[in-house]
Amino acid sequence: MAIMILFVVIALGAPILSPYSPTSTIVTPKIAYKLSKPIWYKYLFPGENISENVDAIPDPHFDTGIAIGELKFDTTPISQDSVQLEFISNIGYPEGSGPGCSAIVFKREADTTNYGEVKANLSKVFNYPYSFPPRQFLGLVAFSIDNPQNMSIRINLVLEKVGSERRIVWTNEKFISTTAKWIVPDPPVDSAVSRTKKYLSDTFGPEWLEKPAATMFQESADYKYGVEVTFNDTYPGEKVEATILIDDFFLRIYGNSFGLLGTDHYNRDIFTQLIYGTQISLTLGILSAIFSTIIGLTIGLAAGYIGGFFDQVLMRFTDLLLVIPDTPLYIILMATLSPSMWTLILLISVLGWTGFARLVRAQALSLKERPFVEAAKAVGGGKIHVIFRHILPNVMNLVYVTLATSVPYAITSEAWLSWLGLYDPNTMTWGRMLYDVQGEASGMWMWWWVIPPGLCIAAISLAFILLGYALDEVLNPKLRERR
Amino acid sequence: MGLKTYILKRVIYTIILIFAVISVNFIIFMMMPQDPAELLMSSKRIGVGDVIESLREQWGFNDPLHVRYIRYVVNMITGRFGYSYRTQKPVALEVGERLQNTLILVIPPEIVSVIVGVVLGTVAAQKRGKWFDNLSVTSSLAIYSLPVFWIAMMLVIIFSFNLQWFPSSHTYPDFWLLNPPTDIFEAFGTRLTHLILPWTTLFLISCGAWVLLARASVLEAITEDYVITARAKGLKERTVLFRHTLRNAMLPIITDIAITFGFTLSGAIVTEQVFVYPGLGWWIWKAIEVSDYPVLQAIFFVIALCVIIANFIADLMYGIIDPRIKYG
Repeated sequence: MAIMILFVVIALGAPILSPYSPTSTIVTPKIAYKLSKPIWYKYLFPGENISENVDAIPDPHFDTGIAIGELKFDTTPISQDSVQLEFISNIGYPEGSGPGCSAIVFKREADTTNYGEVKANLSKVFNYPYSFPPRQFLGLVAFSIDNPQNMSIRINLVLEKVGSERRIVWTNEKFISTTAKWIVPDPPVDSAVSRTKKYLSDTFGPEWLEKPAATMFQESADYKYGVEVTFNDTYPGEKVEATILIDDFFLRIYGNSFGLLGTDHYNRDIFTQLIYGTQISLTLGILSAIFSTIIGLTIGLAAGYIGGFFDQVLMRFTDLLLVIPDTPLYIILMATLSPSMWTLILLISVLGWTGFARLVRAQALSLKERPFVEAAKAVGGGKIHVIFRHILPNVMNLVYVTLATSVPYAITSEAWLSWLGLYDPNTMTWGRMLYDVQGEASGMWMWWWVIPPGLCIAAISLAFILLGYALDEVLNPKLRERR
Repeated sequence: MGLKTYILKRVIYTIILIFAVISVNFIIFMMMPQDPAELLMSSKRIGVGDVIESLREQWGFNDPLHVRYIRYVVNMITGRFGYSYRTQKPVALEVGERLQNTLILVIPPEIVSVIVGVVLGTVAAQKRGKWFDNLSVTSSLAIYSLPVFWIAMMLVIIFSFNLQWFPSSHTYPDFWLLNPPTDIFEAFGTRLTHLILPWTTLFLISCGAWVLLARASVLEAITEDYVITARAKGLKERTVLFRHTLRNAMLPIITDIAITFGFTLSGAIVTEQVFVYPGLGWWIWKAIEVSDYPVLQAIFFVIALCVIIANFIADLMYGIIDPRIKYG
C-alpha cells in the first residue's frame, strides 16, 4: 500500500519533481553530457574520477538584477566613468528565457575632453574544482548593439585560465552600426563543435585543437569567462551614446555525472524518465483494468444469469479468446495500428477480460439458485432488477480483487511491448527505457540505467498483487473462516 | 456419461476450436492494411500495376470471399502455409524448425520448474507461517512480478558480460557457419551453454507461480480428514506430506501445467528476443519488420494449435485422474 501511494504521488508530482523533459532530444544547452553516471557514484567508488557539471555564471538569463552583482565589471582606463553596467528588466534575448538582460551603456557628454579608446570588461572568475578534465564545455552569449553614432565597437568573448596564456577568444569584426537583431557567436563556443577550433590559439599544438576541453581545464584552478567590449571613441566635441545588451551569458562545463540516475545516450535525465514512466504505467494499468473488468463483468453476468444458448455462444467465444495466443497478437496489432498508450488500453480491454468473465459466470450461476434470488423473482423482480440488485452486489468482491490483480498484467504488457520497440515516440515509459538501454552499446554496463525501471515495474506490480490478496482475504468469507 | 463420450465430446470441441482459430486468423489478416501483392512487389522493387494485378489474379485475391475462406481453411489444415515473402522458402519447412527450437527452449525449464516449484510449495505449506514459508512466498511473488525480459537482461549482464560464463545470444558460435564442429560431444556442450541462460530465465518466471499454486492447493488438502488419519496411523511426516497430501493436491496442479503452457510460450517469445534465439518468437519479429504475412499466419496458427492441444491434454488428464469428475 505504501508503495502504491508513493508511486501515485510520484506520478502526479512528476512535473514538479523534475524540470527536464523525458523524451526531447533537442534541449539547448543540453542539461548534461550523454551517458553520465549518477552523482552518488563517487560515494560508492571513491577511487574514480567523478565530476559534476560546473555552471560558471549564476543566473545566465538575467531574470533579476541580482545576477549582475555577482559579475565583475571593470573598465580601462579605470578612471573612465562614461561606461556603466545596468540591468534592463523588459528586454531579453527572445530565444532564451524571458525578459531581463544586462546592458553596457556608453554615454559621454559633448563638453568633456575625456575621449579615446575605452574598454569595458564584464566577466566572472570561477573555480574549476576537479584535478581532471571535464568532458565538454559550452559557452553562450547573445548581444544586441544600439549604436547611433556608428562608432567602431569590438566585442571579444574570452575564456581563459587566470594568469596563464591558455585562452580561447571569439573575436568579432568591428561593429560600426546598430545591429538589427541579436548576435550569437557562430560557430558556438563549444568544445564539441569542430568549427570552434578557429577560436583556439594554435600556440598549444595539435592536442589543444583535438581536445579543447581537456587542454583548457587540465587542473583545479581559477578560470575566467568574460565579454570584452572596446569602444573606439573618436568623436571629440560630440555627445556619444552606445548601448550593448548582453543576455544568456552562459558557460557550462560538463562533468561525467549528473542527477540521481545519470543521463542516457541522448543527454536525457534518466531519473526524469523514471518519474514520467510512473505516470504512464499507472494510468495505463488502472484504466485498462477498469475497462476489461467492466467488459468481463457484463459478459459474465449476462452469460451466467441469462444462460441457455446465449451462455453457450458467449462462453465458446471466451474459450476462443483464451486459446488465441495473446503475445503475438499484441505484437502484430500494436505494430499494425500505431503504437500508443490508448491503443494498448483498447487492446488489453478488448482481449483481457476472458478469465474474469468465466469467474463471474460461475459465481452468477451459483447465485442464481440461491433462495434470496428465487425470492426476489417470486416477488416479481424483473431480470434487470435481479441482476443489479441481487447478483451484482454479491460478485463485487470478485470485481475489486480482479481490478487490483489485472493492473500488473497491463503494466507488464506495456513494458515488454515498449521494450520490443512498440512505443509511442512522444511518451517515455519504463519499457522504452530498457529498449534504449539495449540500443546503446555500453547501456548494459550502466546498471544504474538498467536496474531502476525493472525494479519499478516489479514494485508496482507487487503492490497491486498484494492489494488483491489483501482484498481477497477481507472480502472472501471462505478464506476468513479458514484463518 | 462414460469416459468415452467425454473424450469424444472434447475431441469435437477441440476441432471446432481449431476451426474458430483459423477463422479468426483469416479475419485478422484480411483486415491488415497492406496488400500482399503490392508488398511482394515493393520488396522486389518492381512496382508495376499490371504485375500486381496478375499476381492478385494468380493468388486468387479476386475470388469471392467464401471461396477464399474455404481455400484458406484447407491450406491451413494441410499445412500449406505458402511462401515467405522474405526468404521465398516454403513456410511450413521453416515452421517445423523454429517450433522445434522453441520447444527445446520451453519444455526443459517447464518440467524443472514444476518439480522444484511443487516441492518448494509443499514444504512451504507444511511450514506455514514459518520463515521458510514467508521467504519462499515473498521471493516467488517478487520474481513473478518482474518482467521476463528484464530478468533475461540481468542474467546476460551478470553471467555473460561480467562473469563471462555463458554466451549472451544465438544458439551456436558464429564460426560454426564456416566450419561446423566435428566432435558431437563438443557440439552438444556448446549448444548447452547457449541454452543455459534462456532456460534459467524461463525457469525463474514460471517457478514462482508453481510455488504459489502448490502451496495453495496443499494448504487446502492438508486439513482434510485423510491427512489426520495418516498422521494418527503414526506415519512419518514426510510420508504424510508427499504420499497423502500432495497426491491429492496434485489435481489442480496437473491441469494447470497444460494451461500455463500457453503462458510459458508467450514468455519464450519475449525471452527469444533477448537471446536472439531462432525460435518462433524471434521469427515473429523478423516477419513483422517486413510484413511477412504468410509467416505470421503460420506462427499464429501453430502457437494457437499448441495451446489448444495442451488444453485438450489437460482435459483428458482431468478426466482420467480425477475419479470424482462428472463428465460433461
